[in-house]
Amino acid sequence: MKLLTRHLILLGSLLLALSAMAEELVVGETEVVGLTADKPFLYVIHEGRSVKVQRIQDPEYELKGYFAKTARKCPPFCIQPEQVDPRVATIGELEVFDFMENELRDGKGVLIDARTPEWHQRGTIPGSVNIPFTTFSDPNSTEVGQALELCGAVRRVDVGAFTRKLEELGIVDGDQKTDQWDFSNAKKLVLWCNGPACGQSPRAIKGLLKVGYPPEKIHYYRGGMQMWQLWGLTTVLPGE
Amino acid sequence: MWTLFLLAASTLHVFAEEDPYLSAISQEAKKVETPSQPDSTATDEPVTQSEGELNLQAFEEDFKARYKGSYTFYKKLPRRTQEEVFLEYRDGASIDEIRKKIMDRFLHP
Repeated sequence: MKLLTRHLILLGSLLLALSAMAEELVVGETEVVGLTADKPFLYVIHEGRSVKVQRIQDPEYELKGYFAKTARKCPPFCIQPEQVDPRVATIGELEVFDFMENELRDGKGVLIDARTPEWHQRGTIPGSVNIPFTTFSDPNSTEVGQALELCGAVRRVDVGAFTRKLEELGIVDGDQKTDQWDFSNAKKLVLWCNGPACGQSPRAIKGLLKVGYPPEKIHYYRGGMQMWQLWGLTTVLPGE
Repeated sequence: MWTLFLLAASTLHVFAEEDPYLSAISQEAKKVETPSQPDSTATDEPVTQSEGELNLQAFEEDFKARYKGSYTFYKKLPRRTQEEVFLEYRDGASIDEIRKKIMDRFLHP
């Protein structure tokens, strides 16, 4: 009788252990690859509709194609410095998520795909608008004006020399103003391009600084499309 | 926005012929294929029931996590008003606008 009881206890323990293992397996299979530990996904408005930004859930997924390449001809596709300008902050994916959920959603920020249109057309980060870096090659062009207005800058008309002098001296508020532009209500910008070996967004940032955009309102997402895809994050094709 | 895009696109061809950097990035762009998408085909277990579109449940969970105060008032609204709030959020209304709307509907039912 004792022997039978022992066998029953042993069998019971074995069954419990097996069921616990099975439960672990089930939990393992349904685990979500989140954006962060407490954020599985987020939503961003892209071309007027809500797009879910998440990571590819397949644990076996490996990056293939162009952005999996480690070598590109240098020059021109050389590794870029961490900073474009000492006054401009370089940010990573978590800061981009935060920006998407706050400033972008509230209309207080612009996510800029600074690549040429042929790159943009092949896939972009949701929520981005395409303002190619070439837009900023001529500070006085119509395109620069349109881009700056999109970013919340206001064109100044007929600013008198006296007023300007007072602004420069700090007697009247002129901290975020130039002869041509008032950047007081300019939006927070996040610029990105193809990744750490891409010079397109650094050029756009330099162009923005040249026209007087406040550097504290400019952010450089250096990881760009390459890191975005390496993390398996959602991309969208424009117009779809 | 599209005007800006078209203007930029039309001037690029002229620049590309002159600027070696533009020519190089133009050549490089041709090597890119359409990226993989984290859609329902790439996963065994979708994160939510929706496929890309924001649904009411996901909105409420997110709203509850981020704006507990406003969520409390939101939950006191009639279901139809809650749906109206959700639709506005889905169509791009900012969080500030959504929170104002909730309070407005709560105070002036």
